[in-house]
Amino acid sequence: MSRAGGRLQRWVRRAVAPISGMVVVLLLVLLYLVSDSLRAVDQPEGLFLALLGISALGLLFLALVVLSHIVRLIRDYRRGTPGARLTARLVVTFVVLSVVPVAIVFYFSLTFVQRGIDSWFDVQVEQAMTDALSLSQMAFDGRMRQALEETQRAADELRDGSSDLIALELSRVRRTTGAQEMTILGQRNLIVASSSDDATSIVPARADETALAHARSGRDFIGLDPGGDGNLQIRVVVPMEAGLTSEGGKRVLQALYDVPDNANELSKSVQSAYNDYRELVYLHTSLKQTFSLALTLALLLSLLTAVWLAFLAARRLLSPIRELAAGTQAVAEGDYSLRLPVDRRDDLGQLVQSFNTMTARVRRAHDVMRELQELADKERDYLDTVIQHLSSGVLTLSFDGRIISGNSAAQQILGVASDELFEGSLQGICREHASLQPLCEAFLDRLGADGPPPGETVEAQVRIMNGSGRKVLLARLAALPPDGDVEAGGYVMVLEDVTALIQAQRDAAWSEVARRLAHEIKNPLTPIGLSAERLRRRILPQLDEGHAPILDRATSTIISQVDAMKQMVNEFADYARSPRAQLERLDLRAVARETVELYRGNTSVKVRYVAETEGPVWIEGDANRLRQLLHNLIRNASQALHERGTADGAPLVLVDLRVVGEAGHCLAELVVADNGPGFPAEMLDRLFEPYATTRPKGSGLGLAIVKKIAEEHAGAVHAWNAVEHPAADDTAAGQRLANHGARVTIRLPLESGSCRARGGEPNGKTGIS
Amino acid sequence: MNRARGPLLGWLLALVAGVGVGAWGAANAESRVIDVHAEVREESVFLDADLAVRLDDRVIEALRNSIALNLLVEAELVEPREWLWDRRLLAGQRALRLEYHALSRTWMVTDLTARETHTFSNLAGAVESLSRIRAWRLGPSEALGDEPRVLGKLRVRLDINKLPLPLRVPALVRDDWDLGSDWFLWGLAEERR
Repeated sequence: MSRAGGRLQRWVRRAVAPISGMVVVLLLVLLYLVSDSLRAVDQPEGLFLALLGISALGLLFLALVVLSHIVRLIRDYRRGTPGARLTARLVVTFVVLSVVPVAIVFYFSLTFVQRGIDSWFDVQVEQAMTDALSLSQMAFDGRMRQALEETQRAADELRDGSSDLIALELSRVRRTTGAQEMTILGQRNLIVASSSDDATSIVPARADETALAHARSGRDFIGLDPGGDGNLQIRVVVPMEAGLTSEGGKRVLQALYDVPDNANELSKSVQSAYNDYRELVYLHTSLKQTFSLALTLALLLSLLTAVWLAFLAARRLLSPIRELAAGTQAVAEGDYSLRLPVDRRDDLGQLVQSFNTMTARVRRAHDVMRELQELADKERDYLDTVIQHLSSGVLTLSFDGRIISGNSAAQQILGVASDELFEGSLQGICREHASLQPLCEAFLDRLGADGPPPGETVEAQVRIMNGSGRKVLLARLAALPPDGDVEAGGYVMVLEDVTALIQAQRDAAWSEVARRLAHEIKNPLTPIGLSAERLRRRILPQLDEGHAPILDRATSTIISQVDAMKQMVNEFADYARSPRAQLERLDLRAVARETVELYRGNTSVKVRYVAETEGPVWIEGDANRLRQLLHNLIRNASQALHERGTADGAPLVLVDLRVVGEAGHCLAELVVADNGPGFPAEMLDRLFEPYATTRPKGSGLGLAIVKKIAEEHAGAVHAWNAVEHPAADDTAAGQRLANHGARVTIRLPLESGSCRARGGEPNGKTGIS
Repeated sequence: MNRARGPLLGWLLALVAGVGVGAWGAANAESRVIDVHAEVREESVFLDADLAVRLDDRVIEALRNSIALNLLVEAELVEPREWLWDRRLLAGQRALRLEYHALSRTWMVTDLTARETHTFSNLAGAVESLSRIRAWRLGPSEALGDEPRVLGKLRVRLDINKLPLPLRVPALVRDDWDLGSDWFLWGLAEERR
């Protein structure tokens, strides 16, 4: 319905212009006809009024069209539609341009018409016309008097005639008088007798009541009668004295006389000219009004046509501008696909063409930009992915130290949650996390104006202590290239957790030291020991009672110290020996049980095995090395208990074995727990380093070897105190020891990798080796 | 122009021809139809009508200035219908002209339909002659058929199109030129017998 309405509206809108054009042409024709009919004498009846009516209707239509245009223009103007102001200006210009000449022509035409019509009339001419008429009348006077006398004579002759013969008598008398027609009228103006020259005339021409009444009152009536065909006749009505009717009314005699033909023609001409002149005089005001009306119609037609054409021209002229405006708006809103139709060859057409070219260029540039953007996005994603998966932590900082971005490794290394990290600044993070203070101390004063110039890096090694232990971080700060702003672009900070690396380096160094030491010391020890024994064997029997004990003591000391030294050197050698473990499938449970069984007879410290798993725990391992690991741990614990005592109760070492799952991997967890006082806090982070010992006689290699063996089996070891992490101490052994004492946890990968663990997240959170 | 086609068509035609203004002006007509008498005689319908034609001073002045007045007397016999336009049975039109003859100082009334001219020495006589219509044969009586109800309509109006051109527009719009009468309606049932 609304679509049909819209179509109709569109059709009407499209049809208005041609219809208006036709109306204008029609009006021109009509106005020509109107002006023509003002001149033409004979024209079809009703044409003039019809023409005027149709012209008025046409003008009304044009006026409505123009009005609708004006209304639409005002509406567009108020709404600020593109082109409305220009249209208004153009229309006003056109209208002013057309109104001025049209008004001038109108004014002068009107004046000329009025003056022209006025100039037709002249007092002298008018007088002459009147005089001519009077003259004509006077010319008939003589003939009329003669006719009167003739008629009076005839009346006298007829007065005595009998009524029966009066018709004959009348005919005779008429011929003597020369009258064209004679009629005797009696009572109630009934015709008594009539005689006429014209045999075809049956009904005689009757006089009017006035003339008859005149005659009846005894007076003669004489007058001119124009007659139907315009031929003048002289009409005479005289009373007939002796009426013969019974009612006593008077008879009258009416006679009609022709006037001479030439007089008739002349009088007709005079009459006609006089008529025309009188008519003109009478009508000259109306004539002026009519001319003015026609002129006004022409003026209105011109004005309305001018305004209408002004609208059409403005619309035609401005349609590309409107399209351009709409196109510009579309481009401003980001639609570059618009192409305007180029359907004209003038300057505006060129403008439209230029617009199209510009739009195409902008579109191309936009496409290229978008491609570049996509490329950059891809690159950034790529870089982001790479950075996110770097093991090094990466942070980008603003010029003033605000953290802009970073990868997950950075969070892990710093131990700061991501939301906290990315919403704060380096300073803020340091305030919140006291453990990161060394990092800030190293770098805060290198930010801002004191920062490194672009392209250079500042490097620092920072030691931090946080929840997951001591870390050594290698931090590098590089300035980013300026971003185009006045301020520098900020910094990128790369953090590397080099704890493990340093540890490995240290381990390697110690291994080398141990190997050399063993080599260098072991060689002289054997001759020293042999020499001491030879001395003892050869010299001792020869010495007296006084000196023999001295030598005995001295050589014994030498031999025992050499032995002790040898043992120590062997330990060094063990530690330094390159790890060539013979890995084979073995049951860790059996190994652990057998090893613990060896300590059954131990009286000072009780060692017990606690099995948390039912079946065998198959791993890939070297049984001897694993036994050594256990021995080392048990001995370490026993010595600690022996030297430092227990927290409460008898000294007890428990070996616990269970299977745990971590992130889908299954691990065998071996826990050696004691009820001693635990590891000294200052030792915790260096426990597994060689020569880290609290004992004066210890080599400090026991735990270092443990760690080495664990690493040979692709395992991990950590030592911690149960008191500090009671929640993590969830093994059966831990519970038996009431969460007291030291714990060493070793995790080794299972052979199968399949996991039937009874759950429980592995807990070693402290003492990372 | 035929005004009897129907009100709507007539209105449209009147509008187009610009006579609409005249039709509106007819509401305060100067002239009147006093009486109309119709009778069937010798299988024809004859009308006698008495009019009261009044001429405004301005019109008389125009007459004296050699401008002829053309009057049209229009008569119709129609069959009235409830919800349709009346059906026209008989219609007739009589054209009368009144003019002043300056040379003879007489008034002439010409019945253009009957081609008769009467001369009067004064205006009153001429107007009286105009007002009296006698034995106007409208048409054959068989046109009336057996219609039980026949409505007669008669009026007189000025034929503006016969006026000199400059007078036509004023005659359309001005009251003093409004010489026409309203339609005079009468029932014809008894008269026909």
